[in-house]
Amino acid sequence: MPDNRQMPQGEDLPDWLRGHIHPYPGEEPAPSESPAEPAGSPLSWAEEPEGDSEALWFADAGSQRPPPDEIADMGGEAMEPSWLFDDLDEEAAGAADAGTGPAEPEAVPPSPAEALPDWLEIADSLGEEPAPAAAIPDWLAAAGAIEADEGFVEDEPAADEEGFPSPDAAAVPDWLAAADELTLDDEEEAVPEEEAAEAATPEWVLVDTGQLSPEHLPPEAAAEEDLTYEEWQEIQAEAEREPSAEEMLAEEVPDWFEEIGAEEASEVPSEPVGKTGPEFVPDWYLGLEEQGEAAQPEWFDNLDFSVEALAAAPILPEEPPEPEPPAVEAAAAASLDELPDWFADMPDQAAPPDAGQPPDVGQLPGAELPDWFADIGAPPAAEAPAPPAPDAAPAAAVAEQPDWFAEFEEAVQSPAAPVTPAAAPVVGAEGGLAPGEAPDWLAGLSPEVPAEALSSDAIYAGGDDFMKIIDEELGGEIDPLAALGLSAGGAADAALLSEKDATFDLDALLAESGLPPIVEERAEDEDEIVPGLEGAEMPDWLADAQTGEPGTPGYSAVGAVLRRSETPEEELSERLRLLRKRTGEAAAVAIPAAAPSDALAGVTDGLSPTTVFSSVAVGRQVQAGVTLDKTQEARVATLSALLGLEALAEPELDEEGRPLPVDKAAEAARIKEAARRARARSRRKPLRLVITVALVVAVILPFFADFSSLISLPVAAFDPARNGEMDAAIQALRSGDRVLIGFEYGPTSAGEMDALAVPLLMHILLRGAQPVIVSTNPAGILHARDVLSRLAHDEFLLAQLGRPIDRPLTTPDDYVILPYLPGGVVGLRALTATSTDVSAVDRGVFAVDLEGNPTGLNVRFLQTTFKLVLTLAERGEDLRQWVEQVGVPVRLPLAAAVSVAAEPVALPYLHSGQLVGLLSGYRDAYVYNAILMAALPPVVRLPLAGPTSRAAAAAIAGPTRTPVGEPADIAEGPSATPSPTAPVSGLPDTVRLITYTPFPSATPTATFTPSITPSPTQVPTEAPTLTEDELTAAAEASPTPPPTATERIFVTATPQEAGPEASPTAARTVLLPPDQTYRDTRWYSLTLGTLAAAVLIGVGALFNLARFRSSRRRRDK
Amino acid sequence: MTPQTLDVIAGWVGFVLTLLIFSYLLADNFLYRLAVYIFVGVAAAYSAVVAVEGVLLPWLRGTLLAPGVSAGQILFGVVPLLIGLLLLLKSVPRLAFLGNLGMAFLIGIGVAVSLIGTISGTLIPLIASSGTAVGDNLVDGLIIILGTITSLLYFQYLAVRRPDGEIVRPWPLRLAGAVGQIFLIVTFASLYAGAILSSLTIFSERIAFLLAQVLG
Repeated sequence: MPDNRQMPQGEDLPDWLRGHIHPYPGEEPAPSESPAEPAGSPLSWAEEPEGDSEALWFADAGSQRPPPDEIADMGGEAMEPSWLFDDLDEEAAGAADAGTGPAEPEAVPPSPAEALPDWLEIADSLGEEPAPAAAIPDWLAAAGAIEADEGFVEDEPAADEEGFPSPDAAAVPDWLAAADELTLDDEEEAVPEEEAAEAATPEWVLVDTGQLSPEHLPPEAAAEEDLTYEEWQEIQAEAEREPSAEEMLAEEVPDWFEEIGAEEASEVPSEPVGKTGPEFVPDWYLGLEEQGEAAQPEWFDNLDFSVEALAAAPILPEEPPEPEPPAVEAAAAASLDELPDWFADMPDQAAPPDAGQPPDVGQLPGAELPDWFADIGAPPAAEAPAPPAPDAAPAAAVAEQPDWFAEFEEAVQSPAAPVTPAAAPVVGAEGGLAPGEAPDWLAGLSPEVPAEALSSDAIYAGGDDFMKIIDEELGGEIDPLAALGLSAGGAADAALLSEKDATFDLDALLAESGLPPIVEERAEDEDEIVPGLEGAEMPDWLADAQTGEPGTPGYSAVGAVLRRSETPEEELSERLRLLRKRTGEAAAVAIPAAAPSDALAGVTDGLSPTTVFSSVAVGRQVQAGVTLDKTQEARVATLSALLGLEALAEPELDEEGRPLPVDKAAEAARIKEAARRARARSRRKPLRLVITVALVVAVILPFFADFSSLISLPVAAFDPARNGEMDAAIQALRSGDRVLIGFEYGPTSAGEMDALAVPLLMHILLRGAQPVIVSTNPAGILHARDVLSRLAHDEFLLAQLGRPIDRPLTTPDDYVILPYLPGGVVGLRALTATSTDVSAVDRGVFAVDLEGNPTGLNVRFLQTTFKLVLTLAERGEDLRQWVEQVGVPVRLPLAAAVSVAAEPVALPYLHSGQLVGLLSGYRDAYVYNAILMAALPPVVRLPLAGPTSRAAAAAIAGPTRTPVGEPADIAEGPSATPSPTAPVSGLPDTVRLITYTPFPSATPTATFTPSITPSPTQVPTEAPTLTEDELTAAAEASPTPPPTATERIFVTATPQEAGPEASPTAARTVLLPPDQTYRDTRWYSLTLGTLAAAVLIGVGALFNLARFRSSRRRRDK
Repeated sequence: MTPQTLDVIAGWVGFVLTLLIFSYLLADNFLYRLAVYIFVGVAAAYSAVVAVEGVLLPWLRGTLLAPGVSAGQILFGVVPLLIGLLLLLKSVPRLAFLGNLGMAFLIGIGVAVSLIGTISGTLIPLIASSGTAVGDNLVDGLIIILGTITSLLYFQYLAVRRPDGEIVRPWPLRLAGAVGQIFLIVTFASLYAGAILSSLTIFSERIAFLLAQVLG
């Protein structure tokens, strides 16, 4: 069922149709103009919901021949062929003469039987009981079967066996006869008569002009002869009732339609009445006879009435009863009133179209009143203008056709109904229309039909699409053949047509008739000028574009325009001249045409070949994608070489562009060959060996020679611009504070980074803080454990901490090494939002240490747990991640110690304030260690045994000695020195005391602050070895040495059993801080090696420069 | 075997391996490669052990193998393992696409975290610092700004094709690029010098280690 809601709305319809629009259910009904429809409206019957006029009309005709189905099929009364109207005109004229015609003579279609077209006579002759040639169609003859009765239908026509009223010319009811007496010519005189007849003829019977309104005549009135006035009133009340949507839908189907088929198949038409009264013609017929053939609607011109198409249509032996329209479709059916009435019947009776079916005619939007409708009342067909010449027909048709027809035309020409020009029409003179038998209105049709709009050939070739549309619209309930009146004989006629007239073609028929064909054959050449553009001028640019040949420079509109309007070259500037030259060269480049089978065959002239993306050829892609000058190209090539892109071979591709499998054997051979060449190159580089030897000698030499006179040690002072306040940040730590340390380096860089890490860790530990070490480097964790393990058992540190050597630092009390932190940057981010709930799924990073033991840190927030974040990073990237992921969110003081290589990356963070302190390289490590050691009292192991040793140690310690077990506090300075009278306690008698004297040169450092370097004096860090005599002399000379602010004397002991072999003369050793061996020597070595490297680099640069100039000279020569 | 003995043994092993590495100074040889292989193997093995001992097993013990584990904990514990298993499929060419899920997960999160950190931890602070430096020290600030801008301009790859087909860059860009190139040279030189210093530092430490092992 087509969506009737898409049908034209009231505003799209002609004014005369707007009054017929019925609102959808639920909508506010539009102001109905039906009651005020002007007199003489040709569609006045359609204004009323009742469709009983047809019922009445055909009720009588039912026993006769059914009406032409095409009248209903093709759009209702508006589609009535003019030949029919001609007949009716004659009858109406006869009736008017007899005084029984309608009030408007021109609106009364007389239908004399003599006017039946010949081709219909032939069609009738195909029936079992062919009607006489002079007989009118029997369905028209049945119209005269109604007798008029006085007041109302008084006498029931003689009913046949089926109960239908017998056709009888006297059956015209009197009220109809009274109506017939009304004429336009005698309108004024008819008024009194009309008033007089009102007593017998109800008002509804008369429509404005007094013309009978058959639709107002209930079927009961026609079928039953003895209606009482009460019954008639009931009928009128029913007629005046507002119809429901279902009723409206049902009303769209005339009653005579329901009877079609049943009568047609079973009933033998009776002898036609010689004359049918015009009173049997519905008013929608009235006036239609006035139309000319040329004024037929264009869509009707496209209809193919050839028997071949019709014969294929199914012929229903019997019309099924009109099905009750479903309630769901009632609303859609109501919209049918928006269409022209002659369209309304089709969707009513249509079955739901199949998918892909050509669009329903009834759905065509923007339907307008056909021209021929507007011409009602115009001169008759005889006065119609002669059809235009066939050659001018398409253009004229295109120009004249309404919009709705244009869409219809497109629908027919759509691929769903392919056009097959090869389907040549076949003339079937036997079964087809004989020459001259075609309706004369057809004679003027073809010129107005566009050549490609609706070809009969196309209809045939398309599987009789159009007739299928009709058939499907009718729901298979209406026989198209019957609609044309060609199967008046019923099934037998259809069978006969199927056998004999299968090849009937209307085009051929018209050709034989000397009439121009309805449609032109489709041109064989698809490139023919589009109809309507024959006279159009081709644009110049298009003409120019066609001047060249494919592949030539001029084969483009742009090229043509350029060529046409180009300025002489001598008049161009240099820039434009060059540009033209380049343009010509580019256009002259032959572009290989694509293979005919390619998808782009024929269009390659507009596409330039391009390379297929390859992940390997990144450099080439970069070059191909951008415009680069030579410098940039060289730069890209260099970068590609650095990245090794050039070394990567492009994979071999098959014909389809897919990479071929790698030949592993060949690949292995290639790798082996590359390795061999690499080794060969390494052997062929004697210069490398020279450089290596020079560097090794420079580095090793300080270990065997004294360079102290040549190379100065670094100044034990910090540079705030480079180091910030690193020492101050650590010095601010208090006992129990925690420091989060990122240990981001491994054994590979331990030679450099350990020199930084050890003094920093010592300082933190000496401050009594707890370092918590975490690393995203698995090897870093391993190395951190190694470093912390050495520190934990370091005698010097333990002595500084006042802890005996048998009580090393332990985890997690003194320090914590957390497990490896996976995830890299993500792991660092997670570190800032961690939890220590061991029982939870997220057990937290700080929950357990590297050994899996609980740390007891109870870290909830880093900000509240840690006082400082220290990063020991080998690479600048590691430091950057810590700054970004930890430093920013946590907002804790962040210090860093990095390698020299990472210093350029770290310095900006120091300058931006994101780092509070920075140490880099061995130099900073040396300075920091020197300052730290200067602040710490040296520890000298003096293996002495017995009470003498104890007494000596106690004497040496004196008032400035720090008791064992009390950690040193280097932060508070000399003023915090414990009481000099503090007894030495906690030492068993069997323990040998390690006595020592203050380091002589440790006096400059008063406090451990950044401002501790008033003078850039060198700080000898290697502790001298004191002789026993010196120690003894010191002990004896000054049993109570004057305490000074800078002296700190620590006494520690080793858990050694005093043995008889122990001798007071055993070597006394000044304990050094960890990793202090060769500290100064390493500085000398590093300095000398750097100098050597610089010299080598400089010499190498000069050598390369000289070589370059030499080669250039040779090249110039 | 006491720890002291192990330390001595480890010290001598380290001494030998150091000599093997130093043998590369002569040429690429078997001893050098042997030392490299040992180091790489040990490092890989240690990383694997750390990954299992420090990551996988604790995760399993905390989720799937935890006593009284709930369904949520199981799901929470299975998903990462499943993604990890999918990553293993990357080694199988036919099933490598299944590993893309894990890769997408890792890359997506990693890029997001890195991007946030870079913007908030590097770009904005350093830009602000550069602006502040102008006020603190005009010369230094201008040098910083000039170096930054010209270095960025050096890496622009926009050129103009002249009518004669020659591709050139506008002279302002060329000038800025040349200045930026100077800054880049200085920067790379400092990085290179730092790398040399780091190498020499490590080298001296190794020499000291060797001498300490030999000389005591």
